[in-house]
Amino acid sequence: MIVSLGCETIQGRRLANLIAERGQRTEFTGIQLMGGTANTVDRGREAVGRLRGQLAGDRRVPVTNANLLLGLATDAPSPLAEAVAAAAAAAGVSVVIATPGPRPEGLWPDAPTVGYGDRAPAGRSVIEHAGEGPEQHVALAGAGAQVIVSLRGPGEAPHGCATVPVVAVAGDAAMFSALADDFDLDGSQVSGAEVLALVIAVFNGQPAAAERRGAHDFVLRRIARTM
Amino acid sequence: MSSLAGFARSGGRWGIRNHVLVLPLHSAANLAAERIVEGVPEAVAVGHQWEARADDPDFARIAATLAGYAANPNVYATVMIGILAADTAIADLATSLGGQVHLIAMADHRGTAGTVAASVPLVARLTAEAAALKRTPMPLAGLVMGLECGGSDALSGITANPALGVASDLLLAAGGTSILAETPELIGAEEILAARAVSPAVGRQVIETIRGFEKAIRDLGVDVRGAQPTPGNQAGGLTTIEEKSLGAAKKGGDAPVAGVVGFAQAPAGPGLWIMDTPGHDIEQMVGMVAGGANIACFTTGRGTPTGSAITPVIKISTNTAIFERLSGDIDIDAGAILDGSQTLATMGARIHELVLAVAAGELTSSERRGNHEFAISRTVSPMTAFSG
Repeated sequence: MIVSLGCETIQGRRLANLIAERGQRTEFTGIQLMGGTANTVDRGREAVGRLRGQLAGDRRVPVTNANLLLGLATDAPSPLAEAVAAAAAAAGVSVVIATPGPRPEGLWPDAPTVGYGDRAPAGRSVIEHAGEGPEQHVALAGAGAQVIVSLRGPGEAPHGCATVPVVAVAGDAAMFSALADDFDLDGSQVSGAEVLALVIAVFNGQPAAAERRGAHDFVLRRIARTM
Repeated sequence: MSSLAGFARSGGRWGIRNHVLVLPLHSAANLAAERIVEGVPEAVAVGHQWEARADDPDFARIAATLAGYAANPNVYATVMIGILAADTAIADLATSLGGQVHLIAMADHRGTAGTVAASVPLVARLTAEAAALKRTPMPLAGLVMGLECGGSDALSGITANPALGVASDLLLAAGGTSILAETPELIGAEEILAARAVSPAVGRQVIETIRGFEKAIRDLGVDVRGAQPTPGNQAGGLTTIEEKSLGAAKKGGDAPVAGVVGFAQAPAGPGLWIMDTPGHDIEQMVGMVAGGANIACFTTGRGTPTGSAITPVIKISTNTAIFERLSGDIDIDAGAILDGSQTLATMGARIHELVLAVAAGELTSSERRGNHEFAISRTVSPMTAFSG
């Protein structure tokens, strides 16, 4: 459901069309188009009702791990990131990793680079210049990841993502215990296989901590100051 | 002489509202802030995307934004939601600016749910205290008015902006303060504004600020004309940024320019000030409110409903068609100047009267809707800052 003002540099109708071209259900409304906020809310609620009606018929069906794409959000390559990726590869799960800036030296030299907003291929791939934390979540969601593992740095707090379950892994034991309700796992205590086991459970519908609390973070990567 | 009543704050400042604000200091605290005001609907919360990195090159700008917002005189008290109790820099800054600040750390409460449970009784107590406070007689000089335009069209510079300029001049004549901002939308008007400066030094500052913004954009390898005027401005008949700017600058009336302040910085005294902000509607509004604006007037040709959680925003349409089309979203129509039923002087006086009514407690359309847009403004690209 795209809600536009009407003056935007990225025009809402065009954005809705781009989404529809990817095969996603979409609706569009706009404040200037509809004549104000109240009309837009009324029209938007009707449209969301239509979308919800469509999804009511969706049912889970059995899939193999080959249908799964795990998004890895991390500030920097780490042994745990490698362990999660190795466990995923052994299980036949594809992995796309987001890096804040250019690809670090030695990170998956054979894996292709995925353009920002492009679908990740099967196997391993890398999104460069994805930003940090919740910015990476948006990049990974745009690449098609169905679950994101967020490997936080020491002392960093967890975020969710509006549309993709985020398994939040604390960077150190102290931060994990201080924010125990908002993290899923303590990265100082956990193996790659244990992270993957939770990922598979979340793929199958078990809510991650971010989903349980209703976190709906959405942070667009900015590349320059605002004009 | 019109009489006014408001809430007296420290340092001779005046509030025209008495909000309790719940302000996250970190984007991971947004949800807690949102849940707290679900529990105490009399309070207001905003959210943002800042990850509170101490090594952020824009730290001072962002700290001034959050602290200034919390210390705005329309706020009775602010409950800041941070991550660690030891991170007190922004709360301390807000206190030094005259705010009443309480800091709750999520790490002391195991995360979101515990933070909400711990904060709701505090926020409820503060809203009860705020509700018990009475307005007292307030001078017009206590008004600090933010001037803004968004979704401009070819009529902005002919009707709403110059009428707002008349209203600004009326406020300044009573000893008040106005803030003109959106620096990129002053490109082309810098010589006119500099010529009105109270001193040659202020005049040079006006020129340097506006040219500095233009240069910063050029240094990024970006042509400002790709984004200014916006597609909506162009559809509304604006052809160039200079044309847009000459109209935008009219919001400042004919008054001398008293000085230039940085983003989110408070003017040092009464008069017309220029604040260095982006043209982005929300970032600009947040900058002016963080700089102490307790009321704002916002002209629009294409129509935009944006508001502020703590500062009343009066929406002024440039044309009657958009006023009627977006009637619920706009407070007053300056389009009547076009058909001759109003003049700039009479419309400016009507805007001034509405400013006084809103200052006295009348709700604006964005307040009735509950608009509470908020955004952090950066000067440094996060990509450049953190990614080498």
